[in-house]
Amino acid sequence: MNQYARMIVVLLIFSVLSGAVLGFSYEIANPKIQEQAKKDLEASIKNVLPGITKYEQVEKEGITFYIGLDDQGNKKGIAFKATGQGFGGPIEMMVGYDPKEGKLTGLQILSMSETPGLGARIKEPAFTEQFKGKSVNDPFIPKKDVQVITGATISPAGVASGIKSALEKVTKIYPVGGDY
Amino acid sequence: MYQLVKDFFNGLWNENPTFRMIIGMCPTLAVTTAAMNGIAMGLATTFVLMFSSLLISLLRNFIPAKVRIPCYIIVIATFVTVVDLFMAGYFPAMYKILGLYIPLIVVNCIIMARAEAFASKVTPLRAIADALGMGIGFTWAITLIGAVRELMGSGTLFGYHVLSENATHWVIMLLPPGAFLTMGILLGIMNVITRKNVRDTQCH
Amino acid sequence: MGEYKFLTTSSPHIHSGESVQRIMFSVAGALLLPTIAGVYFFGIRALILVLTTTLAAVATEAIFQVLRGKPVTIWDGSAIVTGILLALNLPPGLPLWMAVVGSVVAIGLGKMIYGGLGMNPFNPALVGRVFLTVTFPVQMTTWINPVDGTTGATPLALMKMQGISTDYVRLFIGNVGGSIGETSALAIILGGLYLIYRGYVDWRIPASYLGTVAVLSFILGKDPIFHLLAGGLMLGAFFMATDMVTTPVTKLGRIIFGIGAGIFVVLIRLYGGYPEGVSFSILLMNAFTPIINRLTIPRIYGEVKTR
Repeated sequence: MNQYARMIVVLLIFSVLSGAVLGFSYEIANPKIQEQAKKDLEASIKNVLPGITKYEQVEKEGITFYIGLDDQGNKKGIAFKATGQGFGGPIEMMVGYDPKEGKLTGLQILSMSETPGLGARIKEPAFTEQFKGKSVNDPFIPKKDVQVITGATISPAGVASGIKSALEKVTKIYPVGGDY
Repeated sequence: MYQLVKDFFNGLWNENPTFRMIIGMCPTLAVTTAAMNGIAMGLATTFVLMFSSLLISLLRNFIPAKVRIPCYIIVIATFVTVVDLFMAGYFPAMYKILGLYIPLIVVNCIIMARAEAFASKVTPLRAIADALGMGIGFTWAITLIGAVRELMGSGTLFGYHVLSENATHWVIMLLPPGAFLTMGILLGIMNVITRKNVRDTQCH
Repeated sequence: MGEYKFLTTSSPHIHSGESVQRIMFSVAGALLLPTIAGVYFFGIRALILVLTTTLAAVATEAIFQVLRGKPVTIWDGSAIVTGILLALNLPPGLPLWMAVVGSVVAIGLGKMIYGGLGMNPFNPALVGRVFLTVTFPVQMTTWINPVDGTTGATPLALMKMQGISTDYVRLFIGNVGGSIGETSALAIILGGLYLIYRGYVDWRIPASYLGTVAVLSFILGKDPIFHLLAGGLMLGAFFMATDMVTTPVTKLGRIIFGIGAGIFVVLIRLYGGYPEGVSFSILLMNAFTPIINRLTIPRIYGEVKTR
């Protein structure tokens, strides 16, 4: 066989086989990956809306809301995603909000790239728990009504301002005391 | 048989990819913030290295010399993507830490270097022995770096507290400069040990 | 032969009398002023810290040289200067063992691994300080107020986080929170002027450095006097940006160095993550020093400009 033809044939065989292997693995792994993503989402929603057993997904004005329901189907609160600007990049958060009381029900940091041992401690419950029961009308200013972490002020400020700016939109859609 | 044993032990110390050939630095420096990350990254790389070495050795007479590099890349990239997908599906916790770096195994010099310099020239058995040795050599090296950084930076080892909870953490060890510092100091220690060995053997 | 004024002769030549030792001990002498001010404001603790880092720096240099089988040069005084400078850049309440770590890094990583005095690309004291800032951020940003010893924020941090300015007189005298040797602008300027008078410091670097910070902060709508007096700028401008080893050798190069460092300080202070940027600015410009030297080589008299 001509050596150029041989090169092309060999490369072609490699590519086709590789494609087949990849397609096959994707078929097996993808459902698992999706399932995992869903599990993570559900876990974070349940974390920020304590006491719920299932949730409904609603899209309003470009924001995705997860309305949490308990066993009897009573609405227990709304969860939504918020983003803040941290020291090392964006901070992705899941925030739980109870419009009836006008209070936050929980906060979970989904992803962030803050300095380990410092800003990264915004992930710890010691920091996130303070937002539980916090009124949405609070100013959300670090060192005033938001406790900061020793040695790191920028990451907590990013979390606080991220929640505050998301709440400004969310409270227009689901006003305090209103129905949802 | 002797040859196989020799090929296997080669990667553990004499031609250790991390401390001797100084290749595969990207994962070495990037993921080693904890010992466990080192093990996971090392095993993922070992897996890819073994299968790509085996395949390339088997096909060494079939691959035309002029297109050997693209062929190696396709083989390596395929295995890496398989690892990537299965890790995302079955080991999500580990994938959250290493996810960014798994695709980079494709361009890890260790795999290309062993394919080009070794696997493509020897029988499949020798290729596997070498890949296993290199993989384990890489794994212990980056696990060691990860352990040093984790111990100093977080006071833990494999996630368990070994230092007092109040021990001061050296934050720099968890940041990129800490990787370079640890690597440099360990490399220096390796060199001291080796130089001593050489001196001893020369005396006899 | 009498009419040839610029005749080049073979040796012996007259020695100028300068030596590394003499320069270093003069610098150490000038550093005594900010040290005394620091001890006055922060108490005996500051003095212990200065002694600790100095001893640790000298010991590190000696150990390195003994281990490598090189002549021990601790008597040239350069390690003493590095040790004092490092301490002046540390918060007064820093645990002593951390100060020792800083000294070991400053001399070991900042100087000895490059081959010792004259070979280091970066200012060793600043290498030690930045290492400590990154490694122990909590302890390195725990500031003590002078006299009463309570913890508080530095003027720059107050400005950055809460927009509070500090009284100029207090800043000038040094009665504010901060590193041991950086707070008293008065003591630093006196020490710096002495070194300029002795000819060990080129006035061009502090002048262009401070000038750039003043002009740039004024243009950007900030208070230039506050930015000149607050933080480590004075100490950096007179004692660290003027280090002979790590700064350009040409006159033009030194001005470029000062301007570059000034720009970095203002950018970090106003837009960066840290409230203070003096150490980073000098280290960054240290990295540029070889390029600046190469670009500003003076033309030989009579040489035609070539393209």
